[in-house]
Amino acid sequence: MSKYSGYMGKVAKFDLSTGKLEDYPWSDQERELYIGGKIMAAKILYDNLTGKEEAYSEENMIVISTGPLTGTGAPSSNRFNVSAISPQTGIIASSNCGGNFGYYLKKAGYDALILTGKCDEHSWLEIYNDSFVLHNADREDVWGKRVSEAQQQIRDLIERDNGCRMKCGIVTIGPAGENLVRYAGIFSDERTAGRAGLGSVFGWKNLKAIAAYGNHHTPIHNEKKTIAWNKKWVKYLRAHPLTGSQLPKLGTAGLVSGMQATKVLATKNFAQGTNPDFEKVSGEALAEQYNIVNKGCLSCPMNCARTVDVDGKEVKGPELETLGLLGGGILNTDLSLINKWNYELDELGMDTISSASTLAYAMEANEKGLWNNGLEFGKTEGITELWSDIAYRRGIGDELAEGTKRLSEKFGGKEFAIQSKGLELSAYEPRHAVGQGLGYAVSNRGGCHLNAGYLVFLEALGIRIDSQTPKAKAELTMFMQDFFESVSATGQCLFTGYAFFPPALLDPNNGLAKTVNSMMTKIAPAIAFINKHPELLFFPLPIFHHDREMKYAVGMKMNLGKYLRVGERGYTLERYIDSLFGVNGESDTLPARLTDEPEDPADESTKVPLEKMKKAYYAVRGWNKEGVPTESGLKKLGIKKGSK
Amino acid sequence: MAYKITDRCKGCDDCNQVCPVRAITGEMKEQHEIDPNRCIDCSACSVVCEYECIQDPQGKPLKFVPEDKRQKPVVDEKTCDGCGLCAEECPTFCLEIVNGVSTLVNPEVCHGCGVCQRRCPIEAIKLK
Repeated sequence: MSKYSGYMGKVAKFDLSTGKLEDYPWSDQERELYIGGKIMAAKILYDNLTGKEEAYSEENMIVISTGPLTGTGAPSSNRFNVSAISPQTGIIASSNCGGNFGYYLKKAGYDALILTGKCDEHSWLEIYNDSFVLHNADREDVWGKRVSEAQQQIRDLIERDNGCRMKCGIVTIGPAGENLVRYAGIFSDERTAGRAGLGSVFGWKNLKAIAAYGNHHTPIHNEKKTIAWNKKWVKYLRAHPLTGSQLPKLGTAGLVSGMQATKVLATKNFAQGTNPDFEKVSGEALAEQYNIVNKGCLSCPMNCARTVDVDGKEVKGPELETLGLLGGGILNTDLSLINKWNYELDELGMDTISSASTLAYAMEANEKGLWNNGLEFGKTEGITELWSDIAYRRGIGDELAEGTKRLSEKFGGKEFAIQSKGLELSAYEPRHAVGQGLGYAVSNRGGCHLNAGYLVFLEALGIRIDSQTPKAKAELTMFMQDFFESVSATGQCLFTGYAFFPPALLDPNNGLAKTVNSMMTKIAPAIAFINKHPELLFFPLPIFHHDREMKYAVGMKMNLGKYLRVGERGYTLERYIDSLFGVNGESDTLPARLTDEPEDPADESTKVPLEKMKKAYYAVRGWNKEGVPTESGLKKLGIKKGSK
Repeated sequence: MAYKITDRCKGCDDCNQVCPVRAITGEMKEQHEIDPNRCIDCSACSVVCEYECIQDPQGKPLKFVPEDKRQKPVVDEKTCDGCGLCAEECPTFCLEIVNGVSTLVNPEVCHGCGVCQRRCPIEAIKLK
């Protein structure tokens, strides 16, 4: 048991090869240092991996972890994290999901689940409290099914065995995961741990799905104070223009128009940052023409998800990245097709970002005569069938299933293969948000906008600091990465962090915002000082609610400074593990299109000055010149192997 | 944790009929038992137990509520943010989020157990 509330106090280690269940040691000291979620997973992987393991191997382990706030009722807190070695990048990856699986994993009595080995037959795992049962997924007709059908089949089986309908949390893969598509995702309800291809690690391990349920309750430290704080925080989130108005109204899809205005909307495989037809594939068009109802993840007051009509069915609508990359990214202007493809990709079990980006690469490779595949920008006929061909690895689908990096190694065109470390970039074009470019390159899991630090939010979306200067970008990237890292580790959504920025700063015409924005890139030493001494931020801030939620619900004394330090510990540890797998400064790259060709040919500054920013970034992080954290750096952060 | 049935039980089997997770077993006219590995502490059983022989996890005996006095969840629509925790927790699938607000969609199967009220993180649901 733990002295802290919020935690169930147990971590399960289950060997898929032998069916053996063990309690994995996890101490209160580790809870303080690593909190939970992706940082907890990183520590578990650090303690168990050597750097020689491969994604498709019995030695690769899957860690599904929750945060201490998961199950407490804190706003947007029911997210869970899946970490393992990624078949796309070959290094550790974390993939986060807003589905309800984490909530039910805690009901089964566990904070995290570690899966090792490999099932010797197609299987699905049923967890009820301490009972872990592997079922044959062929005999029970779960293997081979599309995502929603597989989930329904498992619910039916559980109802049959219990004699009543039971609430449970399910994660499952689709046919893409079974067929080892390198960018297959993991699905919980309609939400996805999409990035980095961890669905195919499930597939390789012959594990189709996990259902968890039980009768435990997440303990809350001070129920009265927690409820009072929840009320206050929810009120604040609902009054904030981003979390209370923009996200509920238009969802992430609403960002398309703003991105167009600031030229960060990736278009035609990142050849441009603006799309002349953006209005046809914008969040506004989605809301007007297709949105049925707004929906949210469990325990979220923001409701940024939406449902749309696809062939008479009410299904999940596309997020910003899907809309951008399957819209302007491939010069498609048919929004109804994006809705349909989004649903199809979810059902087949593939990451929409990597799917779209791989398709865009293939179209450009065809256009340039490198690979005669029949795919053309703007030509949408046959794409619905192509997704299926990828998931089942038929025809050119078999090639496309390998992803952008491997295709560019085979067919050429690395300069327009829009990936970093093997992971395709999100829909934000970084040449008009160079700090985002730095983040994409150094991100621990490859080209991900969030793991990057999401600087585009400061450069071109909410706030408007100078988007072309490399000044202060390294410092701000570290700050944002560390902040997001720890918010994620507690189980909360990164969007709760949006409300950290006062509304006044979000209006580009506001005088105060203009002053702060122009100052921000000139105070690099001050930001670096905070990064180095976050302990100075020990006092409560009215814009930062996360710390008191941890205090009241978990009983852990936190402040912004501690959050930043925990985040730094997590980020550094992930990087250190990646370095064991061979990652260093040379791995932190972007395709030449983004670093060498200006987006605006008349303006030389519209490209990412990566090398310059990288050096500054390693220095700010205190890593060596090769971009690797030092042993003494780990020691300073209190990172030690093992649980003592 | 889990609820408990005391030896005052007459074996009427009403609790077994309503238990949404099938945690209760027992022969008719004999003392029934609650499986602590299955009980979700919802209190649906105690609401229908006219012999008042069910205790909560703290050992407190619970009161029978006659059918005409059983309460149902009422949502304060202004406060409710549609987070969905009540609907997820409701063991009898009575609540759903409709247009961003928690709504009692299956009132006929609601036992008035109060799980929704207890789990709401911002006190937007009250049994009335």
